[in-house]
Amino acid sequence: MHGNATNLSQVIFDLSPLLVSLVVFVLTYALIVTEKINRAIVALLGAGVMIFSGVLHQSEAFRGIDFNTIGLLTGMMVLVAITQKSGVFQYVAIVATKAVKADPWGLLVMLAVVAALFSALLDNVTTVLLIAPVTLLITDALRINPYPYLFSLIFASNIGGTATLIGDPPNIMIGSATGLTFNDFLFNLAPLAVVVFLLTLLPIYLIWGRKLKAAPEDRAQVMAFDEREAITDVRLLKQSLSVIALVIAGFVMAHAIHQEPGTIAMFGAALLLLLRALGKEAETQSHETHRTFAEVEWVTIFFFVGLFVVVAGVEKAGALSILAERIVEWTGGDYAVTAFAILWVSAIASALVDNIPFVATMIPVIHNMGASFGADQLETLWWALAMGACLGGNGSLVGASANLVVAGFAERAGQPIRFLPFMLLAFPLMLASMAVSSVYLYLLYL
Amino acid sequence: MSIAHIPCRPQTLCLKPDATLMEALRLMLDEKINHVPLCDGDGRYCGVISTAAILQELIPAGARGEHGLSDLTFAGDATRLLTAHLHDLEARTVGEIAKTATPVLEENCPTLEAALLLSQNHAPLPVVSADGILRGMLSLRAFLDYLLRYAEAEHAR
Repeated sequence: MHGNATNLSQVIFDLSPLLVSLVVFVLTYALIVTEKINRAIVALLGAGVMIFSGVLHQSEAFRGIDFNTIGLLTGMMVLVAITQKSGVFQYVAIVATKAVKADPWGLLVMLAVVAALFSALLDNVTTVLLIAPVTLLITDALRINPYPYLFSLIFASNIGGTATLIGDPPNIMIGSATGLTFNDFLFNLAPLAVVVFLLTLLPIYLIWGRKLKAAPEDRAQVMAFDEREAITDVRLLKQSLSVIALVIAGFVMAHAIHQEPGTIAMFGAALLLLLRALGKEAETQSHETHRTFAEVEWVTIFFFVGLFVVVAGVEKAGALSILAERIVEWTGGDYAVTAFAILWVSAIASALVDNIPFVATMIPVIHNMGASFGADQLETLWWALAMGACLGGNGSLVGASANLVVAGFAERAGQPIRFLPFMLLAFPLMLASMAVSSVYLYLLYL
Repeated sequence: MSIAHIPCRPQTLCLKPDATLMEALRLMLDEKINHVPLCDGDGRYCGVISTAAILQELIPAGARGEHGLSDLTFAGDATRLLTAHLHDLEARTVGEIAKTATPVLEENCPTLEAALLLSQNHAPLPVVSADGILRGMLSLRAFLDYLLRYAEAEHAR
């Protein structure tokens, strides 16, 4: 079967699988970058062409799909879709606001801390979807410019997402492909995330923080917000928080209990669906389950599926091992130079294009570097990739999906975040975070 | 039978797209109506503005749209949050937020089709000539009133 598949591309196209796979890969990525066609459609089409052209057999394509990543993403999306209905995220945001007595600068810091913490445990897009509306409401009540708050929200979500295995899709993919655990990510990346977060607040304070002022009567209005009223379903709240706590405990112990994060997240999702369904009529159960599944971002899931197959195609054809050899050649076989190159190239690439396809490609490339550096000597390179891909998303408005979601809210608030003005500040800040990451990488690993 | 015989609100009640939201609001309050059509300089229909659309502009940005807050009970009686945006209505034009996707009824539209569109939209619909000139707005009330009179006349015959 396998040989037949390879022959197909040679017979029909009279081209080598390497060339065919590269053409499909480049065309797929070019179409994704132009954003003219939905990225999931492009990725699935690219995957289909990889199979039809004979580069991959269907069974190889399916083996190329990382179902641990798919399970982790889908499970967490289901958990969040149910949990958000309890109002817990608005509750936390209001409590944080009142803790600083609605002081504008304190509010900015607190909302950024909340966003960073949520981003470390949930995906970034979900976090900003939950925090941005309440941020706008509070800035509206305080009659202050929401722009600094939304800018900080973008940075906080991307920095927070860097800290854990489940915080950002690049980390999910890296963790799944390498076996690095939740704790590995937490101990290796969370300290860096804390340092970068604190350093990022400094320029934000100098540019906006000093000038943020709110009238006492407006602050009093925000202080009158009743956080208990934000909780819309106490039973659901208890169920959701219990299951999320169990899932996070499962991630922490994943290595010890010999389970993959994808299984833990999917099991948690099933458990919460069950708890929510208990005691309800069949029709209500069916309606609620249908609605919950409808909230899963299927575009993202199918985008991943397609990408995994496209990357499996170029991997099987040998293109990525050649690329890995070339990178090692360019860096002179120097491990430290290779790590820094991965860090900076990942950051700049992630600032300009979607970091998911970039990381999907880099994972097999780094695996192939095992031939030069030793398969057990790659950990530093994985951290370099994670830091660059996650923090690089801060470099421009298109660097991460969460950035565009926040921009949508800003537009609605009459304070649009424009591409160039955002990048003029965000890109240098992102480069500064890369400088910090370089020092961190050098001191801890090289 | 078409809607040509059904009296609709005259086309004199319309606004240019560059009218402010405050002008639209005052007109609708004075005339006790919830929808006003927009016409260009030649009288061609180009959208409709409603009291609902204006109220949406007064709601805090965080609660607007698909992903906005769906429950504001926790904010208490924050009427000032609504009135704070009233002055913004002076600076914005109806063209910015006018609904342009509303179905349009042609003057000779069959009554059955008009009934279907009116029932689906729950709002008055613009009636336009073949060349797009606004003839007026057909309300559900005017349509039902016509149907009732028509049925009574049939019955009497």
